[in-house]
Amino acid sequence: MTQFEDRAAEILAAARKLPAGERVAFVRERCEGDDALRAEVESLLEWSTDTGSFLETSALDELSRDLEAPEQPASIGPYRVVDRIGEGGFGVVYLATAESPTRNVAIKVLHREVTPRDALQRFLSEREVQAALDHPNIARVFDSGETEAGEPYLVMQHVPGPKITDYVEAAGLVFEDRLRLLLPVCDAVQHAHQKGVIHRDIKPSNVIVGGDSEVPLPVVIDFGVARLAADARLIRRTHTAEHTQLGTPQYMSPEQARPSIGPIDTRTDVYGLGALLYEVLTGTAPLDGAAFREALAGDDRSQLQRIICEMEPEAPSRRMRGEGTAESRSRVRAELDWIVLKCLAKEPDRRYASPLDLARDLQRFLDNEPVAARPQSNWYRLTKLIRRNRAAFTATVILFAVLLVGVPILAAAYSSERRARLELAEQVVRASAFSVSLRELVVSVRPSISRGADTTLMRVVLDNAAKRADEELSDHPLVEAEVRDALGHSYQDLRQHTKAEANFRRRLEIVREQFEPPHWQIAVALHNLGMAVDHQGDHEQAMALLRESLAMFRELKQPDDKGLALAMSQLAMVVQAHGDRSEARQLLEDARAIWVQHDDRNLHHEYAQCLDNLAAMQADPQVAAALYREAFEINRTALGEDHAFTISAANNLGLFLLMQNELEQANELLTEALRLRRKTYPADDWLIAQSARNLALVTSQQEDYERTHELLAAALRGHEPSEHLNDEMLAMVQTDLARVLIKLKRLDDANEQLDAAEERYLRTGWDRHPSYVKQLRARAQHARALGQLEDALPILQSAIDLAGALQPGSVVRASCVIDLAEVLIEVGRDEQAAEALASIADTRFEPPVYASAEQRLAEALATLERRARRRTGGDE
Amino acid sequence: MNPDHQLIAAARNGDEVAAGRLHKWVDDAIRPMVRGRTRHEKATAAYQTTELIDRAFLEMLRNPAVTFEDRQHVVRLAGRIVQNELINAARKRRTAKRGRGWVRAPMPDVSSTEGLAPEQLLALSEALESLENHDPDRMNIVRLRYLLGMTNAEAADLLGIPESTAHDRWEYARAWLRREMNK
Repeated sequence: MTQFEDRAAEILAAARKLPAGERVAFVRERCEGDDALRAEVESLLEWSTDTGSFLETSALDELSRDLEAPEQPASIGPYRVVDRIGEGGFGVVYLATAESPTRNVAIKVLHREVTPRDALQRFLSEREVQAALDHPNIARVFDSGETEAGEPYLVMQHVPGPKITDYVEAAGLVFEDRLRLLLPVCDAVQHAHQKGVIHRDIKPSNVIVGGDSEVPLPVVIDFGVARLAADARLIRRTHTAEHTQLGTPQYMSPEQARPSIGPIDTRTDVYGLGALLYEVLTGTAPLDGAAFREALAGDDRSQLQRIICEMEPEAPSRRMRGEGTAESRSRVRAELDWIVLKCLAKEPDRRYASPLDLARDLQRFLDNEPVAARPQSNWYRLTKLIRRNRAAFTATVILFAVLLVGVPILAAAYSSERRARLELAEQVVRASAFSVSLRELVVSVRPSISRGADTTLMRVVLDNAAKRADEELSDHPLVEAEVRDALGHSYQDLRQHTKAEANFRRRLEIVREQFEPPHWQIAVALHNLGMAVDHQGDHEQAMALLRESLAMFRELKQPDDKGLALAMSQLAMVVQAHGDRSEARQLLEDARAIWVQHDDRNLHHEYAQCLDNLAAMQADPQVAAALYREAFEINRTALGEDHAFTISAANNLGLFLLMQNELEQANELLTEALRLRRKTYPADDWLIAQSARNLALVTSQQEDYERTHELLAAALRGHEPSEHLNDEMLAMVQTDLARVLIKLKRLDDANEQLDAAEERYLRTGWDRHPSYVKQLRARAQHARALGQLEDALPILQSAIDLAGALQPGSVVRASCVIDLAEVLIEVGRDEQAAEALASIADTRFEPPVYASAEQRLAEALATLERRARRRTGGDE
Repeated sequence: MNPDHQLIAAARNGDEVAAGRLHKWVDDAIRPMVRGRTRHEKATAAYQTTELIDRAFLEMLRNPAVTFEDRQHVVRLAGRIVQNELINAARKRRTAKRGRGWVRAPMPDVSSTEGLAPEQLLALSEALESLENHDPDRMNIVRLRYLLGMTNAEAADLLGIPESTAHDRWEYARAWLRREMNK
């Protein structure tokens, strides 16, 4: 039989591909000699035209169109059913009347299927407890029983009225009144908690506003019902916890979505109250983005779980419709956001401990007192963002590709599967509030976060974003402030410091307008601008800004705050470079003292940075090495080995090891740092040059001159003077290069480099800088190599004078003196040599990298002694 | 993992652990089929899928004749459940609209299933029965695409046939069913 069908199907398919006019002839030809087949195909051909959407809508949709309403019973128990008023996943709600006393009641009939017997038992026994819930803002439970069909039901107080979100909209309440309406709700939930009942499913449709317009009375319904449903599902789905999802995802707490997070307790209801508060204020549920709706529609549970557990809700102020004065709005923005977001914290421990605490904070807010809630600190947000972006890296790449060239072009280039993802990405870009996407986008393309991707593309994205911020954000100052901040950091990563500074400055202006000092927003903005200004070279202004920032952080009175610690460490670095070293050290010690109070400090690269900086100030190399190593390890664990900070730490540790003369280890670390920087940064980045130069210091010490030359030449090559790579640095590289060329006996080349370096030193005024000492020594070295010993002498004398002026008694000066003594010995002026060497007899050759200088000193002294002995011997 | 007879028997005897494992197995077998169907954007999709799984699971427990050796069995069962639901829905809709004395009316032509009238649904259901007896291969594709809402690509993948073949079979079956419904 199927052979016949297959053949018919094949001819039918072929015929349908032809123009309508040719089909009949085609069928006739193909079915030649088989009339039955021909008749079948012709008939089917007829029925296959104009099929429209026949069967294209799946039966599942057909069924969902009208999930059949069960017939409404005339009565349930002693109650006469009036109307069907609701339906949920676990049952149907009827409005009914009771005889005595005469009153309306709501009867919830539970599907029998979902109600295993012992869950019902527990429910019925809990009913006793619920009956004890005697609170004006909680719907009473009057009675319970079983229908004739054996379905359990519950008789509850019927509260006529709209759900709370509809009520506040219809009544047009200002936000203060909306908050006041929530106070009794908190009180009701608190009351239930004291009786041991957790609601588990607080959402707008479970809070009905009764009473009259003069005295609205919010009433919480359905206490404990969610528990029953939970029990029912739990029993039916043992071992399927990952598929068990109850309640309404928009309002579901992370611990309900993912039980591994923690037990369901009173703080679950605090989350629910937060979601309620959010929607009452803004008209939308906290998690309401395109991605969320997509996951909901597609029944993608793992995606829903992920969103519930990871996606930070947008600050409610961003979604609030404007009313009231600018001043009141900005106050709302800050403090109310904190309150709401504290309720909605992913980790139960970060929420209010009870509804009562929430109510108190709301009351404080209404009374214009400072609230207890605090914003999530920057480090917290940063780590969250990094963690999320790392996971979603592919998505990010697509996202900014979309922003850059638009969907059509990309879609043409991609396979259909990718195209679908692109369209999704575009939806996300369009649907999510512009601010969030732009900010996260900008943050996600920061070079230090999106490693190794092409920075040219990032620059374009950033410039585009900056342009959009100029054009589209002037009406949204706080959004603009956040975007400016992200842009500032990103430009800073790209070392476009002028642009970075401009963006940070704009942010500071905005937050100064929006907030009254002291305020953490202002403190952070001051800090970031300070850092940017410092990079630009204006250290005085930088220190002023950073000090103002730190003072504000202190004034905000969060003595154990990690943000404060961070501000201290960074000010310390600027102070150290341009000011008072002991103040810097004190700041770092203070910062460290804050960090050690936090058990999770090892997860924070900021702590690593503090240690790293502190290490640089240690006199004891053992202590310093330990600090460097700890910093490096923390970064590697917290950020991954190819993160900019980890590489920096490796670099610092490598340089320290060099100073300790641990050349092999230093070589290994710095080689790795160079490799990673080459991978992470564009080829012309000065950090690569810096890494190459650092490694060259080691290889030169190891007397591997070929490699040293290669590294320095690479550092020099391809370096157009960029914003950061300035003449001074080029001069230093050229000096080093000359030194190695001398070792390689390429004296003409060396001379060329020395002349070029000389010119740069003189032009920049760096001929009074320690690195110029090196240049002078290299000059002398060059003269010595040419055999022009007398010429070397005055040059070395200048080097000694300069080194002495900069760092009297330093090991650098001593090295110059040894150079001089060596030449003096060569030209036979032993007495002068001995005199010179005697002047540095007290020198301590620290750190150990100067061991070679010490050895040269010993050799020079030995030579002098030998010659003296010979002379004395000759005399005798 | 296929559920063995012992597991099914234990579940039927009220062993909750066994029932849980069986439920998970049904869930695993059915959910991927109906998840992420881009055409289903209604929020009810979540409910439908869960509903379908629960019904398949209950059917498994209830009906001793049902055996489960592989996914194809589950697919067949899920399709059967949806089909039964369609009939139920049609009957209820009919009762609700016209009362019990309803007589089958002459069939209008069907060019769309968007909101099929109860009589059309019943006719479709009968047509599906004959297709099942007459031509199981064609019925397979209808089951996956219409009853379970999969795309052509997904259905072809599950059946292990080329997409073009799946498409040809689908077009053939649609014409065949339309003709059958109007006989």
